[in-house]
Amino acid sequence: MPGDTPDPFVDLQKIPWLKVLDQAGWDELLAATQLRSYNPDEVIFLEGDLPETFYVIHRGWVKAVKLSSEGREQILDFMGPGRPINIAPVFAEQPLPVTLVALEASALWAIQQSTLLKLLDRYPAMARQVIRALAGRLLYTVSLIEDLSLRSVTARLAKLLLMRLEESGQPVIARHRWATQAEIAARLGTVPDVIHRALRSLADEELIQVSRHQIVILDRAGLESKAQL
Amino acid sequence: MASAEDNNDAAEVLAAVPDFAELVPRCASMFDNLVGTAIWRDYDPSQVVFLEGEPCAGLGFVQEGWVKAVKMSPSGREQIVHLAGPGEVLNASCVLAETAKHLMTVVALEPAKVWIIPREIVLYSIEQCPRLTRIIARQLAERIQHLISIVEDLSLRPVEARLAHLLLEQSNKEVLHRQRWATQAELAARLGTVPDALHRTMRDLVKQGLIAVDRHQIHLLDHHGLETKAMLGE
Repeated sequence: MPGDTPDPFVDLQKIPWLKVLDQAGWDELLAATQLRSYNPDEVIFLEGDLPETFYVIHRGWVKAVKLSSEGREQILDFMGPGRPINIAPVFAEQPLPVTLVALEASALWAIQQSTLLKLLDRYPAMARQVIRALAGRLLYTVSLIEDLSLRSVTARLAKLLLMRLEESGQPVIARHRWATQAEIAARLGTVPDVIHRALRSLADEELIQVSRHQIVILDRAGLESKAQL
Repeated sequence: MASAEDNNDAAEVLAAVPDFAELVPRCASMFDNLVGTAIWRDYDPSQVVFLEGEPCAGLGFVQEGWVKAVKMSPSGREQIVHLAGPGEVLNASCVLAETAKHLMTVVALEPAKVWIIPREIVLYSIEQCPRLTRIIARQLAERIQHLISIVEDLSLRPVEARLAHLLLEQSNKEVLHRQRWATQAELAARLGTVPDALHRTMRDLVKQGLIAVDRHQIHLLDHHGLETKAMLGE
């Protein structure tokens, strides 16, 4: 974008555990931050890589995936603007557990791990917030297991729709161009055919209305009971 | 209430948790504080240690016996998310998460002794000793990694591959001792399937000469063959 120089502070100040930094801390952090751009389908990092970088999404959407040996993929999460990436491996100094792929043209703030570890030692108040963020990730991962093992595909789909509703606060969910049935299937641990049928059955029961660019939630309570919440 | 002598036990249990051992020299007074407030309880087999949704009791440490952490479906099917034995930490998530509620139900698999450190004490200690943050962060990150591998198993591997993976992970020198509670129902709940399917899969692996099963142990006869089955290949 010509002439448009984004300010990392605008995105980073929204991360709860960075709010405890003072001016000196921010100066050090921003000096270690750079913007990196990615094309659609570009791999940002690979499972097993060293956790040298912490990212915050500035623009675009990415997916965190696990690949099977024959190339099937399980998407653990879709992530958009403002989302932090790699908190757990960066602070735990562990190899990255997933592969990250850009879903569309994206730009991410990249921050060196060494800088964050230094700041953590200097600002103890950061610690509690970091741990809270980690605990949140753990909760999320347990909910993925619960979904895959104990919920039907229709229940998983209903839950995903309700999560999006919760995030946006609006009953109309815009469909990203990359949010194909294949991608949704990979996120919910099934195949596109089954997603297609599940969407149709929710539409037949008048819980949702599906069109090319959006999904409208017609009956929230009905979806909640489908989701077995 | 625990006596001073009991709390020597607590000190030993805590110091034996690999990462916590680092605290003894670095944050001695905080370590004493954690130990001093710990209480222990004994559990019978099948007794509930913590109940999902209840307020968080505190950070748990298993001294003796094995416990399982499970999620239940509305219809009562269970998925085992974590098995913990002596020296392992329980509840890291509920102590640290904002909700402060138990995320999973924990049930004793055999007679078990569990130490509990109150939540407020742990949170206070984190601020006193920044080193503890790194330790807890590492514990949480390892747990997340373990959980992601379960997601991967459930979603990308058939039951046979999950079983082969579990056998390879848990075996010690080609022999896996079966704990008394490691029934096919428990194994099935760990692998996200039903006992029937697990039974058939186990029998298939035996027929193919990959493992031999008796009452108390499972022998891994063909490590390489199992690795192929586990689909661990790059």
